[in-house]
Amino acid sequence: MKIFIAEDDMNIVTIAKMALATVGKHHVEFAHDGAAALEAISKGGYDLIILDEMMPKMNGRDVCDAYAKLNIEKVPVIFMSANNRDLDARDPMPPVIGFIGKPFDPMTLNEQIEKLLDKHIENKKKAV
Amino acid sequence: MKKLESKAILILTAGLAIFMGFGSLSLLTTFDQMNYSTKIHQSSILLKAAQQSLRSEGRAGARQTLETIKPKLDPAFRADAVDKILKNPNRSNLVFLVDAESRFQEFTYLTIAKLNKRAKTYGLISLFMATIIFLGVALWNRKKIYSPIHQLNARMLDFLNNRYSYEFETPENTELGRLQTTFNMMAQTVLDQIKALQGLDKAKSEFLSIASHELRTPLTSIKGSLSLLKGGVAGKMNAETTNLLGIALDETDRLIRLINDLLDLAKIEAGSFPLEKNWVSLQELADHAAKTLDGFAKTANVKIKVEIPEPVDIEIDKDRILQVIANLASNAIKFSPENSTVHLRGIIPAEGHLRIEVTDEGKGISPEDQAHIFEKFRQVTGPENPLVKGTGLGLAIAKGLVEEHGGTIGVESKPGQGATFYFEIVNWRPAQTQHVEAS
Repeated sequence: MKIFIAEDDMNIVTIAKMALATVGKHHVEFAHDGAAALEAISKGGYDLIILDEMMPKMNGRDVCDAYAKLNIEKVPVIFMSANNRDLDARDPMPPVIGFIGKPFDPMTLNEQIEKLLDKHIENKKKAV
Repeated sequence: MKKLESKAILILTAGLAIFMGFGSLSLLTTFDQMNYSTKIHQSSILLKAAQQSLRSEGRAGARQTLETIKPKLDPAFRADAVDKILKNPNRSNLVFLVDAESRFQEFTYLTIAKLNKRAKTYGLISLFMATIIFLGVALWNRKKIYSPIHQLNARMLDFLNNRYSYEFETPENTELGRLQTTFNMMAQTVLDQIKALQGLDKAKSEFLSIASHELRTPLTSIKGSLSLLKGGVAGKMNAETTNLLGIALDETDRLIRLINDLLDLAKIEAGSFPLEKNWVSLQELADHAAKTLDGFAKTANVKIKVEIPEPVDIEIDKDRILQVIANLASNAIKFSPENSTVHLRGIIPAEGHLRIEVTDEGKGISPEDQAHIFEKFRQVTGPENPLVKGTGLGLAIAKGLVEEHGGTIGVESKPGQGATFYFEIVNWRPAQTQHVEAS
Protein backbone atom coordinates (compact mmCIF):
# COMPACT_ATOMS: atom_id res chain seq x y z
CA MET A 1 0.00 0.00 0.00
CA LYS A 2 1.11 3.53 -0.67
CA ILE A 3 0.37 5.59 2.46
CA PHE A 4 0.61 9.36 2.93
CA ILE A 5 1.09 10.79 6.42
CA ALA A 6 0.60 14.44 7.39
CA GLU A 7 2.13 15.06 10.84
CA ASP A 8 4.03 18.06 12.16
CA ASP A 9 5.92 16.22 14.90
CA MET A 10 9.08 14.77 13.33
CA ASN A 11 9.49 12.12 16.03
CA ILE A 12 6.00 10.81 15.49
CA VAL A 13 6.62 10.71 11.74
CA THR A 14 9.78 8.64 12.37
CA ILE A 15 7.88 6.19 14.54
CA ALA A 16 4.89 5.97 12.19
CA LYS A 17 7.24 5.41 9.23
CA MET A 18 9.07 2.66 11.06
CA ALA A 19 5.75 1.04 12.03
CA LEU A 20 4.24 1.23 8.55
CA ALA A 21 7.34 0.76 6.37
CA THR A 22 9.58 -1.52 8.46
CA VAL A 23 6.90 -3.53 10.28
CA GLY A 24 4.07 -3.19 7.75
CA LYS A 25 6.16 -3.16 4.51
CA HIS A 26 4.17 -0.27 3.08
CA HIS A 27 5.45 2.58 0.97
CA VAL A 28 5.23 5.75 3.09
CA GLU A 29 5.44 9.43 2.13
CA PHE A 30 4.83 12.38 4.45
CA ALA A 31 4.46 16.15 4.88
CA HIS A 32 5.03 18.37 7.95
CA ASP A 33 2.19 20.83 7.48
CA GLY A 34 -1.38 20.94 6.19
CA ALA A 35 -0.73 23.00 3.06
CA ALA A 36 2.08 20.71 1.84
CA ALA A 37 -0.09 17.68 2.65
CA LEU A 38 -3.01 19.00 0.57
CA GLU A 39 -0.69 19.71 -2.35
CA ALA A 40 0.70 16.17 -2.24
CA ILE A 41 -2.62 14.32 -1.88
CA SER A 42 -4.26 16.46 -4.59
CA LYS A 43 -2.01 14.76 -7.11
CA GLY A 44 -3.38 11.35 -6.12
CA GLY A 45 -1.50 8.07 -6.33
CA TYR A 46 -1.95 7.01 -2.67
CA ASP A 47 -4.05 4.17 -1.25
CA LEU A 48 -4.53 5.68 2.23
CA ILE A 49 -4.13 9.11 3.83
CA ILE A 50 -3.38 9.60 7.53
CA LEU A 51 -3.96 13.15 8.84
CA ASP A 52 -2.92 14.71 12.11
CA GLU A 53 -5.58 17.09 13.46
CA MET A 54 -3.43 19.96 14.68
CA MET A 55 -0.87 21.11 12.13
CA PRO A 56 0.66 24.44 11.14
CA LYS A 57 -0.58 26.41 8.08
CA MET A 58 -3.73 24.27 7.70
CA ASN A 59 -5.25 21.90 10.22
CA GLY A 60 -6.22 18.32 9.43
CA ARG A 61 -9.97 19.05 9.25
CA ASP A 62 -9.46 21.79 6.66
CA VAL A 63 -7.11 19.60 4.62
CA CYS A 64 -9.75 16.85 4.67
CA ASP A 65 -12.60 19.24 3.71
CA ALA A 66 -10.55 20.66 0.82
CA TYR A 67 -9.59 17.15 -0.30
CA ALA A 68 -13.25 16.03 -0.19
CA LYS A 69 -14.20 18.87 -2.57
CA LEU A 70 -11.53 17.97 -5.16
CA ASN A 71 -12.70 16.47 -8.43
CA ILE A 72 -10.55 13.33 -8.18
CA GLU A 73 -11.14 9.79 -7.00
CA LYS A 74 -10.96 9.75 -3.19
CA VAL A 75 -9.05 7.26 -1.10
CA PRO A 76 -9.84 6.52 2.60
CA VAL A 77 -8.68 9.05 5.20
CA ILE A 78 -7.81 8.18 8.81
CA PHE A 79 -7.46 10.87 11.46
CA MET A 80 -4.84 10.69 14.11
CA SER A 81 -5.52 12.86 17.11
CA ALA A 82 -4.44 13.51 20.67
CA ASN A 83 -7.73 15.31 21.34
CA ASN A 84 -11.41 14.47 21.78
CA ARG A 85 -10.83 10.76 21.76
CA ASP A 86 -14.41 10.07 22.79
CA LEU A 87 -16.45 12.27 20.52
CA ASP A 88 -14.52 11.56 17.33
CA ALA A 89 -14.93 7.83 17.62
CA ARG A 90 -18.64 8.01 16.77
CA ASP A 91 -19.62 8.72 13.17
CA PRO A 92 -16.90 9.26 10.58
CA MET A 93 -18.08 11.02 7.40
CA PRO A 94 -16.58 9.96 4.04
CA PRO A 95 -13.83 10.08 2.96
CA VAL A 96 -12.90 9.65 6.64
CA ILE A 97 -13.14 6.00 7.66
CA GLY A 98 -12.01 6.22 11.25
CA PHE A 99 -9.83 7.61 14.02
CA ILE A 100 -6.68 6.44 15.71
CA GLY A 101 -5.98 8.06 19.05
CA LYS A 102 -2.57 9.16 20.19
CA PRO A 103 -0.53 7.70 21.73
CA PHE A 104 -0.82 4.67 19.43
CA ASP A 105 1.17 1.46 19.61
CA PRO A 106 3.41 1.21 16.51
CA MET A 107 3.54 -2.59 16.87
CA THR A 108 -0.23 -2.83 16.37
CA LEU A 109 -0.74 0.21 14.12
CA ASN A 110 -0.92 -1.89 10.96
CA GLU A 111 -3.60 -4.10 12.51
CA GLN A 112 -5.62 -1.06 13.59
CA ILE A 113 -5.49 0.35 10.07
CA GLU A 114 -6.42 -3.01 8.57
CA LYS A 115 -9.42 -3.27 10.86
CA LEU A 116 -10.67 0.18 9.84
CA LEU A 117 -10.17 -0.67 6.15
CA ASP A 118 -11.99 -4.00 6.53
CA LYS A 119 -14.90 -2.27 8.22
CA HIS A 120 -14.94 0.35 5.49
CA ILE A 121 -15.06 -2.29 2.75
CA GLU A 122 -17.81 -4.13 4.61
CA ASN A 123 -19.86 -0.95 4.93
CA LYS A 124 -19.35 -0.23 1.25
CA LYS A 125 -20.60 -3.73 0.36
CA LYS A 126 -23.66 -3.22 2.60
CA ALA A 127 -24.41 0.10 0.90
CA VAL A 128 -24.35 -1.56 -2.53
CA MET B 1 -34.49 57.59 54.58
CA LYS B 2 -38.22 58.18 54.15
CA LYS B 3 -40.05 56.03 56.59
CA LEU B 4 -43.03 54.22 55.17
CA GLU B 5 -44.23 53.76 58.71
CA SER B 6 -44.52 57.50 59.53
CA LYS B 7 -46.09 58.19 56.14
CA ALA B 8 -48.65 55.47 56.72
CA ILE B 9 -49.50 56.85 60.19
CA LEU B 10 -49.90 60.41 58.83
CA ILE B 11 -52.25 59.35 56.03
CA LEU B 12 -54.27 57.13 58.32
CA THR B 13 -54.60 59.86 60.99
CA ALA B 14 -55.78 62.48 58.49
CA GLY B 15 -58.30 60.08 57.00
CA LEU B 16 -59.55 59.02 60.40
CA ALA B 17 -59.91 62.66 61.54
CA ILE B 18 -62.13 63.45 58.56
CA PHE B 19 -64.10 60.26 59.06
CA MET B 20 -64.58 60.91 62.77
CA GLY B 21 -65.42 64.62 62.25
CA PHE B 22 -68.27 63.87 59.93
CA GLY B 23 -69.30 60.91 62.06
CA SER B 24 -69.56 63.14 65.14
CA LEU B 25 -71.57 65.76 63.22
CA SER B 26 -73.95 63.07 62.15
CA LEU B 27 -74.27 61.84 65.74
CA LEU B 28 -74.80 65.36 67.16
CA THR B 29 -77.53 65.99 64.62
CA THR B 30 -79.19 62.77 65.64
CA PHE B 31 -79.08 63.87 69.31
CA ASP B 32 -80.76 67.15 68.30
CA GLN B 33 -83.43 65.18 66.55
CA MET B 34 -84.03 63.09 69.66
CA ASN B 35 -84.35 66.25 71.72
CA TYR B 36 -86.99 67.59 69.39
CA SER B 37 -88.78 64.26 69.44
CA THR B 38 -89.04 64.43 73.26
CA LYS B 39 -90.50 67.90 73.03
CA ILE B 40 -93.07 66.72 70.50
CA HIS B 41 -93.99 63.86 72.83
CA GLN B 42 -94.58 66.30 75.71
CA SER B 43 -96.44 68.63 73.44
CA SER B 44 -98.68 65.79 72.27
CA ILE B 45 -99.62 64.88 75.85
CA LEU B 46 -100.44 68.49 76.57
CA LEU B 47 -102.39 68.93 73.34
CA LYS B 48 -104.44 65.82 74.02
CA ALA B 49 -105.29 67.03 77.55
CA ALA B 50 -106.23 70.48 76.27
CA GLN B 51 -108.44 68.97 73.58
CA GLN B 52 -110.16 66.69 76.14
CA SER B 53 -110.72 69.67 78.44
CA LEU B 54 -112.29 71.58 75.55
CA ARG B 55 -114.67 68.69 74.84
CA SER B 56 -115.70 68.30 78.52
CA GLU B 57 -116.65 72.00 78.54
CA GLY B 58 -116.65 71.99 82.34
CA ARG B 59 -114.12 74.01 84.28
CA ALA B 60 -113.79 71.42 86.96
CA GLY B 61 -113.30 68.65 84.33
CA ALA B 62 -110.66 70.74 82.53
CA ARG B 63 -108.72 71.45 85.67
CA GLN B 64 -108.93 67.78 86.71
CA THR B 65 -107.59 66.55 83.36
CA LEU B 66 -104.71 69.04 83.38
CA GLU B 67 -103.80 68.23 86.95
CA THR B 68 -103.71 64.52 86.11
CA ILE B 69 -101.25 64.99 83.19
CA LYS B 70 -99.08 67.66 84.84
CA PRO B 71 -96.87 65.13 86.73
CA LYS B 72 -96.32 63.26 83.45
CA LEU B 73 -94.86 66.39 81.83
CA ASP B 74 -91.27 67.59 82.05
CA PRO B 75 -91.46 70.28 84.79
CA ALA B 76 -89.64 72.70 82.48
CA PHE B 77 -92.06 72.13 79.61
CA ARG B 78 -94.76 74.81 79.33
CA ALA B 79 -94.97 75.15 83.13
CA ASP B 80 -96.12 78.76 82.86
CA ALA B 81 -98.83 78.04 80.28
CA VAL B 82 -100.18 75.05 82.22
CA ASP B 83 -100.21 77.02 85.54
CA LYS B 84 -102.02 79.86 83.79
CA ILE B 85 -104.81 77.55 82.59
CA LEU B 86 -105.03 75.79 85.96
CA LYS B 87 -105.63 79.23 87.56
CA ASN B 88 -108.14 80.21 84.95
CA PRO B 89 -109.29 77.26 82.88
CA ASN B 90 -111.52 79.18 80.51
CA ARG B 91 -112.29 78.24 76.92
CA SER B 92 -110.19 80.96 75.25
CA ASN B 93 -107.10 79.99 77.17
CA LEU B 94 -107.58 76.35 76.19
CA VAL B 95 -108.11 77.25 72.53
CA PHE B 96 -105.00 79.37 72.67
CA LEU B 97 -103.00 76.43 74.08
CA VAL B 98 -104.31 73.98 71.47
CA ASP B 99 -103.42 76.45 68.71
CA ALA B 100 -99.98 77.10 70.12
CA GLU B 101 -99.17 73.36 70.54
CA SER B 102 -100.43 72.53 67.06
CA ARG B 103 -98.20 75.24 65.55
CA PHE B 104 -95.30 74.18 67.74
CA GLN B 105 -95.68 70.54 66.61
CA GLU B 106 -95.93 71.49 62.96
CA PHE B 107 -92.78 73.59 63.20
CA THR B 108 -90.91 70.88 65.16
CA TYR B 109 -91.78 68.15 62.66
CA LEU B 110 -90.32 70.31 59.88
CA THR B 111 -87.15 70.87 61.95
CA ILE B 112 -86.81 67.14 62.62
CA ALA B 113 -87.18 66.41 58.90
CA LYS B 114 -84.41 68.95 58.16
CA LEU B 115 -82.17 67.50 60.84
CA ASN B 116 -82.88 64.01 59.55
CA LYS B 117 -81.69 65.00 56.09
CA ARG B 118 -78.57 66.64 57.53
CA ALA B 119 -77.74 63.58 59.67
CA LYS B 120 -78.08 61.35 56.60
CA THR B 121 -75.76 63.59 54.59
CA TYR B 122 -73.12 63.66 57.32
CA GLY B 123 -73.47 59.89 57.73
CA LEU B 124 -73.01 59.29 54.01
CA ILE B 125 -69.97 61.59 53.86
CA SER B 126 -68.50 59.76 56.83
CA LEU B 127 -69.19 56.36 55.22
CA PHE B 128 -67.71 57.57 51.93
CA MET B 129 -64.59 58.79 53.74
CA ALA B 130 -64.30 55.46 55.53
CA THR B 131 -64.49 53.60 52.19
CA ILE B 132 -61.93 55.92 50.60
CA ILE B 133 -59.58 55.47 53.55
CA PHE B 134 -59.99 51.71 53.51
CA LEU B 135 -59.44 51.44 49.75
CA GLY B 136 -56.57 53.92 49.88
CA VAL B 137 -54.83 52.03 52.65
CA ALA B 138 -55.33 48.72 50.82
CA LEU B 139 -53.96 50.09 47.52
CA TRP B 140 -51.13 51.87 49.24
CA ASN B 141 -50.24 48.69 51.12
CA ARG B 142 -50.23 46.75 47.88
CA LYS B 143 -48.06 49.22 46.03
CA LYS B 144 -45.63 50.07 48.78
CA ILE B 145 -45.45 46.89 50.82
CA TYR B 146 -46.89 43.75 49.26
CA SER B 147 -45.64 44.11 45.67
CA PRO B 148 -42.06 44.94 46.72
CA ILE B 149 -42.16 41.92 49.04
CA HIS B 150 -43.50 39.70 46.24
CA GLN B 151 -40.85 40.99 43.85
CA LEU B 152 -38.08 40.40 46.31
CA ASN B 153 -39.37 36.93 47.03
CA ALA B 154 -39.55 36.13 43.30
CA ARG B 155 -35.94 37.21 42.87
CA MET B 156 -34.79 35.16 45.81
CA LEU B 157 -36.58 32.13 44.34
CA ASP B 158 -34.82 32.84 41.02
CA PHE B 159 -31.52 32.78 42.82
CA LEU B 160 -32.47 29.57 44.57
CA ASN B 161 -33.17 28.01 41.16
CA ASN B 162 -29.85 29.16 39.67
CA ARG B 163 -31.43 31.86 37.51
CA TYR B 164 -28.99 34.62 38.31
CA SER B 165 -29.80 37.16 35.62
CA TYR B 166 -32.41 39.77 36.54
CA GLU B 167 -32.83 43.50 36.19
CA PHE B 168 -31.58 45.81 38.85
CA GLU B 169 -34.16 48.58 39.29
CA THR B 170 -33.58 51.56 41.55
CA PRO B 171 -35.38 50.85 44.81
CA GLU B 172 -37.19 53.62 46.72
CA ASN B 173 -35.58 55.18 49.72
CA THR B 174 -37.74 53.36 52.27
CA GLU B 175 -37.43 50.42 54.63
CA LEU B 176 -38.38 47.94 51.89
CA GLY B 177 -36.25 49.83 49.39
CA ARG B 178 -33.32 49.36 51.71
CA LEU B 179 -34.04 45.65 51.88
CA GLN B 180 -34.07 45.51 48.07
CA THR B 181 -30.82 47.46 47.89
CA THR B 182 -29.18 45.09 50.35
CA PHE B 183 -30.46 42.13 48.36
CA ASN B 184 -29.16 43.66 45.12
CA MET B 185 -25.75 44.20 46.68
CA MET B 186 -25.70 40.63 47.95
CA ALA B 187 -26.87 39.33 44.55
CA GLN B 188 -24.19 41.33 42.75
CA THR B 189 -21.52 39.89 45.03
CA VAL B 190 -22.77 36.36 44.45
CA LEU B 191 -22.96 36.98 40.70
CA ASP B 192 -19.41 38.31 40.62
CA GLN B 193 -18.22 35.26 42.49
CA ILE B 194 -20.11 32.92 40.18
CA LYS B 195 -18.65 34.68 37.13
CA ALA B 196 -15.18 34.42 38.59
CA LEU B 197 -15.74 30.72 39.26
CA GLN B 198 -17.10 30.15 35.75
CA GLY B 199 -14.04 31.89 34.36
CA LEU B 200 -11.82 29.65 36.45
CA ASP B 201 -13.76 26.59 35.32
CA LYS B 202 -13.39 27.53 31.67
CA ALA B 203 -9.70 28.23 32.14
CA LYS B 204 -9.36 24.86 33.85
CA SER B 205 -11.11 23.05 30.99
CA GLU B 206 -8.98 24.81 28.39
CA PHE B 207 -5.84 24.14 30.34
CA LEU B 208 -6.69 20.46 30.67
CA SER B 209 -7.50 20.17 26.99
CA ILE B 210 -4.25 21.80 25.93
CA ALA B 211 -2.24 20.03 28.59
CA SER B 212 -3.61 16.65 27.59
CA HIS B 213 -2.72 17.30 23.95
CA GLU B 214 0.73 18.53 24.85
CA LEU B 215 1.28 15.54 27.12
CA ARG B 216 0.03 12.98 24.64
CA THR B 217 2.25 14.17 21.80
CA PRO B 218 5.61 13.41 23.50
CA LEU B 219 4.10 10.28 25.04
CA THR B 220 3.29 9.08 21.52
CA SER B 221 6.98 9.26 20.65
CA ILE B 222 8.10 7.69 23.93
CA LYS B 223 5.60 4.84 23.80
CA GLY B 224 6.30 4.37 20.05
CA SER B 225 10.05 4.18 20.53
CA LEU B 226 9.81 1.81 23.47
CA SER B 227 7.34 -0.43 21.69
CA LEU B 228 9.43 -0.58 18.51
CA LEU B 229 12.59 -1.31 20.51
CA LYS B 230 10.89 -3.99 22.56
CA GLY B 231 9.39 -5.44 19.38
CA GLY B 232 12.89 -5.86 18.02
CA VAL B 233 12.26 -3.60 15.03
CA ALA B 234 15.61 -1.86 15.63
CA GLY B 235 17.46 -5.13 16.20
CA LYS B 236 17.32 -8.05 18.63
CA MET B 237 17.39 -7.18 22.36
CA ASN B 238 18.65 -9.39 25.14
CA ALA B 239 16.26 -10.58 27.85
CA GLU B 240 17.28 -7.96 30.43
CA THR B 241 16.87 -5.08 27.98
CA THR B 242 13.48 -6.44 26.91
CA ASN B 243 12.45 -6.68 30.57
CA LEU B 244 13.50 -3.08 31.26
CA LEU B 245 11.79 -1.87 28.11
CA GLY B 246 8.65 -3.70 29.26
CA ILE B 247 8.74 -1.84 32.58
CA ALA B 248 9.20 1.50 30.80
CA LEU B 249 6.35 0.65 28.43
CA ASP B 250 3.99 -0.42 31.25
CA GLU B 251 4.63 2.77 33.17
CA THR B 252 4.18 4.85 30.02
CA ASP B 253 0.83 3.16 29.50
CA ARG B 254 -0.08 3.93 33.10
CA LEU B 255 0.83 7.56 32.60
CA ILE B 256 -1.37 7.64 29.48
CA ARG B 257 -4.28 6.09 31.39
CA LEU B 258 -3.83 8.64 34.14
CA ILE B 259 -3.98 11.50 31.64
CA ASN B 260 -7.09 10.03 29.99
CA ASP B 261 -8.79 9.54 33.36
CA LEU B 262 -7.89 13.02 34.55
CA LEU B 263 -9.33 14.51 31.39
CA ASP B 264 -12.54 12.47 31.74
CA LEU B 265 -12.90 13.49 35.36
CA ALA B 266 -12.25 17.15 34.57
CA LYS B 267 -14.94 17.00 31.89
CA ILE B 268 -17.41 15.34 34.28
CA GLU B 269 -16.67 17.88 36.99
CA ALA B 270 -17.04 20.77 34.54
CA GLY B 271 -20.41 19.31 33.48
CA SER B 272 -19.23 19.23 29.87
CA PHE B 273 -19.75 15.55 29.32
CA PRO B 274 -22.66 15.34 26.89
CA LEU B 275 -24.64 12.11 27.30
CA GLU B 276 -26.11 10.40 24.24
CA LYS B 277 -28.93 8.39 25.77
CA ASN B 278 -30.62 5.49 24.00
CA TRP B 279 -32.68 2.46 24.99
CA VAL B 280 -30.30 -0.49 25.30
CA SER B 281 -30.92 -4.13 26.20
CA LEU B 282 -29.41 -4.82 29.63
CA GLN B 283 -28.47 -8.36 28.57
CA GLU B 284 -26.58 -7.10 25.50
CA LEU B 285 -24.86 -4.41 27.56
CA ALA B 286 -23.72 -6.88 30.22
CA ASP B 287 -22.53 -9.40 27.60
CA HIS B 288 -20.62 -6.63 25.82
CA ALA B 289 -18.94 -5.57 29.10
CA ALA B 290 -18.05 -9.17 29.96
CA LYS B 291 -16.57 -9.74 26.50
CA THR B 292 -14.45 -6.58 26.76
CA LEU B 293 -13.04 -7.74 30.10
CA ASP B 294 -12.63 -11.36 29.05
CA GLY B 295 -8.91 -11.09 28.19
CA PHE B 296 -8.06 -9.36 31.45
CA ALA B 297 -10.09 -11.88 33.45
CA LYS B 298 -8.35 -14.82 31.77
CA THR B 299 -4.92 -13.33 32.57
CA ALA B 300 -6.02 -13.04 36.20
CA ASN B 301 -7.55 -16.54 36.09
CA VAL B 302 -10.93 -15.17 37.18
CA LYS B 303 -14.33 -16.04 35.68
CA ILE B 304 -16.98 -13.44 34.83
CA LYS B 305 -20.61 -14.53 35.19
CA VAL B 306 -23.44 -12.43 33.79
CA GLU B 307 -26.82 -12.82 35.55
CA ILE B 308 -29.77 -10.92 34.14
CA PRO B 309 -33.02 -12.47 35.49
CA GLU B 310 -35.42 -11.08 32.87
CA PRO B 311 -35.12 -9.10 29.65
CA VAL B 312 -35.25 -5.34 30.27
CA ASP B 313 -34.20 -2.20 28.39
CA ILE B 314 -32.45 0.72 30.06
CA GLU B 315 -32.09 4.29 28.88
CA ILE B 316 -28.39 5.18 29.06
CA ASP B 317 -25.37 6.48 27.19
CA LYS B 318 -24.05 3.04 26.33
CA ASP B 319 -20.36 3.94 26.07
CA ARG B 320 -20.43 5.72 29.43
CA ILE B 321 -22.21 2.94 31.32
CA LEU B 322 -19.86 0.42 29.72
CA GLN B 323 -17.02 2.54 31.10
CA VAL B 324 -18.65 2.41 34.57
CA ILE B 325 -19.08 -1.38 34.43
CA ALA B 326 -15.54 -1.79 33.09
CA ASN B 327 -14.13 0.31 35.94
CA LEU B 328 -16.07 -1.63 38.60
CA ALA B 329 -15.44 -5.06 37.05
CA SER B 330 -11.73 -4.52 36.40
CA ASN B 331 -11.36 -3.51 40.07
CA ALA B 332 -13.29 -6.63 41.07
CA ILE B 333 -11.00 -8.81 38.91
CA LYS B 334 -7.89 -7.13 40.33
CA PHE B 335 -8.97 -7.86 43.90
CA SER B 336 -10.23 -11.40 43.23
CA PRO B 337 -8.28 -14.49 44.25
CA GLU B 338 -7.42 -16.89 41.43
CA ASN B 339 -10.15 -19.35 40.33
CA SER B 340 -12.90 -17.19 41.79
CA THR B 341 -15.87 -15.63 40.00
CA VAL B 342 -16.88 -12.03 39.47
CA HIS B 343 -20.66 -11.71 39.16
CA LEU B 344 -22.25 -9.05 36.99
CA ARG B 345 -25.92 -8.91 38.02
CA GLY B 346 -29.02 -6.98 37.11
CA ILE B 347 -31.45 -6.55 40.02
CA ILE B 348 -34.90 -5.80 38.61
CA PRO B 349 -37.29 -4.32 41.17
CA ALA B 350 -41.12 -4.34 41.16
CA GLU B 351 -40.86 -0.55 40.96
CA GLY B 352 -38.18 2.10 41.46
CA HIS B 353 -34.64 2.13 40.17
CA LEU B 354 -32.98 -0.82 38.48
CA ARG B 355 -29.71 -1.90 40.04
CA ILE B 356 -26.55 -3.24 38.41
CA GLU B 357 -24.15 -5.05 40.74
CA VAL B 358 -20.56 -6.25 40.44
CA THR B 359 -19.63 -8.74 43.16
CA ASP B 360 -16.23 -10.26 43.84
CA GLU B 361 -14.98 -12.95 46.20
CA GLY B 362 -11.98 -10.95 47.40
CA LYS B 363 -11.01 -10.01 50.90
CA GLY B 364 -13.58 -7.20 51.16
CA ILE B 365 -13.26 -3.54 52.05
CA SER B 366 -13.11 -2.13 55.57
CA PRO B 367 -15.80 0.40 56.60
CA GLU B 368 -13.10 3.12 56.84
CA ASP B 369 -12.02 2.50 53.25
CA GLN B 370 -15.64 2.32 52.07
CA ALA B 371 -16.25 5.84 53.30
CA HIS B 372 -13.60 7.31 51.00
CA ILE B 373 -13.43 4.82 48.16
CA PHE B 374 -15.19 7.03 45.58
CA GLU B 375 -12.85 9.96 46.18
CA LYS B 376 -10.03 10.80 43.79
CA PHE B 377 -6.69 9.01 44.28
CA ARG B 378 -8.06 6.87 47.12
CA GLN B 379 -6.65 3.48 46.33
CA VAL B 380 -7.09 0.51 48.58
CA THR B 381 -3.66 -1.07 48.82
CA GLY B 382 -2.66 -4.63 48.16
CA PRO B 383 -4.66 -6.18 45.30
CA GLU B 384 -4.49 -9.95 44.97
CA ASN B 385 -3.45 -9.68 41.34
CA PRO B 386 -1.21 -6.67 40.72
CA LEU B 387 -1.72 -7.03 36.96
CA VAL B 388 -2.37 -3.45 36.01
CA LYS B 389 -1.66 -0.57 38.29
CA GLY B 390 -4.68 1.70 38.63
CA THR B 391 -4.83 5.45 38.38
CA GLY B 392 -6.88 5.97 41.51
CA LEU B 393 -9.53 7.71 39.45
CA GLY B 394 -11.68 4.86 38.15
CA LEU B 395 -14.30 4.93 40.92
CA ALA B 396 -14.45 8.72 40.96
CA ILE B 397 -15.14 8.64 37.21
CA ALA B 398 -17.74 5.87 37.66
CA LYS B 399 -19.47 7.94 40.36
CA GLY B 400 -19.48 11.03 38.15
CA LEU B 401 -20.90 9.13 35.16
CA VAL B 402 -23.61 7.39 37.21
CA GLU B 403 -24.63 10.70 38.78
CA GLU B 404 -24.75 12.33 35.32
CA HIS B 405 -27.35 9.64 34.55
CA GLY B 406 -29.33 10.65 37.65
CA GLY B 407 -28.48 7.51 39.62
CA THR B 408 -26.46 6.70 42.72
CA ILE B 409 -23.45 4.46 43.23
CA GLY B 410 -22.35 2.60 46.33
CA VAL B 411 -20.53 -0.32 47.88
CA GLU B 412 -21.49 -3.05 50.32
CA SER B 413 -18.79 -5.17 51.88
CA LYS B 414 -17.73 -7.06 54.96
CA PRO B 415 -14.02 -7.71 55.42
CA GLY B 416 -13.23 -11.27 54.32
CA GLN B 417 -16.53 -11.71 52.45
CA GLY B 418 -15.96 -9.95 49.17
CA ALA B 419 -17.43 -6.68 47.98
CA THR B 420 -20.46 -5.63 45.96
CA PHE B 421 -20.32 -2.41 43.99
CA TYR B 422 -23.69 -1.30 42.68
CA PHE B 423 -25.25 1.56 40.79
CA GLU B 424 -28.79 2.51 39.88
CA ILE B 425 -30.42 3.13 36.51
CA VAL B 426 -33.37 5.49 36.73
CA ASN B 427 -35.07 4.82 33.38
CA TRP B 428 -35.84 1.22 32.51
CA ARG B 429 -38.71 -0.85 31.11
CA PRO B 430 -39.50 -4.47 30.25
CA ALA B 431 -37.74 -5.41 27.02
CA GLN B 432 -39.48 -4.51 23.77
CA THR B 433 -39.60 -7.39 21.30
CA GLN B 434 -37.54 -5.51 18.72
CA HIS B 435 -34.63 -3.30 19.64
CA VAL B 436 -35.24 -0.72 16.99
CA GLU B 437 -33.92 2.15 19.11
CA ALA B 438 -31.16 0.14 20.70
CA SER B 439 -28.73 0.29 17.78
